[in-house]
Amino acid sequence: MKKYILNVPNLLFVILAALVSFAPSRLDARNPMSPAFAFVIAIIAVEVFFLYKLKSGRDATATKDIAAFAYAALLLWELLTSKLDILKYIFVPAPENVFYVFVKFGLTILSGFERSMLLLTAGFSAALFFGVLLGILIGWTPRLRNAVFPVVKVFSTVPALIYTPYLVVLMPTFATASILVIFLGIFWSTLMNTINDVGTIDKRIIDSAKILNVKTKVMLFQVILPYLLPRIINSLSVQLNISVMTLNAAELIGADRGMGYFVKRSIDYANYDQAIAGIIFIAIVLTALNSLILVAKGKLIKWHY
Amino acid sequence: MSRIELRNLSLAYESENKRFLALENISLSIESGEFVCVIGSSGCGKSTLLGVLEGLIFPSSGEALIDGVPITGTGPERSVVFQHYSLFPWMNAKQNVAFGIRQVNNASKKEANEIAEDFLIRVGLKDFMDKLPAELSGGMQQRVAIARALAVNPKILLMDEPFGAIDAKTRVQLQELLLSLWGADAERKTVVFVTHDTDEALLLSDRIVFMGPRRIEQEIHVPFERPRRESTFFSKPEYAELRKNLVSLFYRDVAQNIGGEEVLI
Repeated sequence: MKKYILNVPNLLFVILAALVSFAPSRLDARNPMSPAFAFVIAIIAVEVFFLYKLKSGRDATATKDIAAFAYAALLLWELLTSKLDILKYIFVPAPENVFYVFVKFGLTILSGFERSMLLLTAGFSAALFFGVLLGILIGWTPRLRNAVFPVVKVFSTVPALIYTPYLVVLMPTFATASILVIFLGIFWSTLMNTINDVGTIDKRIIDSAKILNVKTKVMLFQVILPYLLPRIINSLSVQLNISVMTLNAAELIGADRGMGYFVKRSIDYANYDQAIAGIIFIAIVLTALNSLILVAKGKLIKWHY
Repeated sequence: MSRIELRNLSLAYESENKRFLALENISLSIESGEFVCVIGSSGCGKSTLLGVLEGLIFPSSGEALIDGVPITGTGPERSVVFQHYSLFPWMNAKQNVAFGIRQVNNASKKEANEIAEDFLIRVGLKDFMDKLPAELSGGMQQRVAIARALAVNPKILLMDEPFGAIDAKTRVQLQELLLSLWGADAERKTVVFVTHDTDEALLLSDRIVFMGPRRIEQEIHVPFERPRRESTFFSKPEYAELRKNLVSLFYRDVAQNIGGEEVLI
């Protein structure tokens, strides 16, 4: 029990919580301060997560280091803004105000989240599905591979961000435009990687399948696909980050709601507390999605190359 | 019926501007039900020869026939056990064997599973059916590979140094397992077994085909009666005589390859 309570992160937690809850704020005099309870809840959530990780995680030292760093950063933020009022309030809002945004604009943020996730899921899964399917078919057919691969290579080098504004203008609705942008953002690289992976697949696996007299369909989807699955899943987190990036970029141009749009509109109106809250939210969502991929990988893949 | 015949077979690997002759003018016939070991030092072309029989590599000239029909690819009458990594790592032992069965006959999943279980029991893996290959030892993996090869009831069994990476004690067990499974069939399968182990070749085969670089150098008849058992087999004087001949062939071959200067035995 002792090791869960007596450590640096917990000391910082107590200092931070006490400071936020009881010390007078200097900002109060000049600027309207939001209620502190949202920030306090956030701090408690961090503490709960820290204790959970400390109990279940493997590397206790790293967990403590990370938590200590997080608390130190929050403490510094709190001191520099609301307690000592050293930074310009308008550009660096107090954490109380930033976290209160989640209370005040919770519904807006959630509706943006729902919209972004919808576009993301549509574009991401379509790109993954067609990229892998076509990649396996093309990679398996030498003539097709030789003809298509150089072309795909060219396409995959062009970042989708570059033609995002054009697609937003071109497509009838913003939703179709951003789905297309996300699709193109990862389709070419997925296709290229899959073609490449099929080409460099362990010959012994192919030979074993051949000597079992498998039909082409079985070879492609019961041998090559499961063999490539760990690599595909490994590439998911990178692809996901690229998708979110392209989606956010698209949202900067033509959306009416969405996670990236929330940040962009807040910056436009100089609501930096909202902007920072939006950025924190995107970070949390991305981290959650990435952990989801890791969990899925652990459940699906029980073997190594 | 499953007679193998090779006629004036040559095979060259060709890359952009190089041509490497792997097999040169090979003629060989293997009778139905015969157990033949192909033996030779590394790089002599014995695995290439087996690749032709597997239907994975094609000769540059000459013919490879099974019951008079040229080999044009892999076929359900032939099964193969490779040295390494022939099991699918994402399937457990039973799934691996059942997968093989379902490619050649129209067995339902349930029937295939039953046949797979039966064969896994016969190779002594009753308690390991649900294990992935990575969870099995090398010897157990080869047992699964043998079960998968036999479960489709092939007429010809092709084995490419199947016990080459197995420790000596396990290898003996696997050799005896192979002999007992092969001997148990009423109509014996034709076996072509590639190895570089002289003892293994003498224990297993009816005939040893000794390969020098690219060519068959000598065919040696192995007259010992079956069933052969490791324990009694190696003490026979005829065995010692044959082994001496075979080993001397090996070293003569090595001596020729490196100019005959560095062999100090």
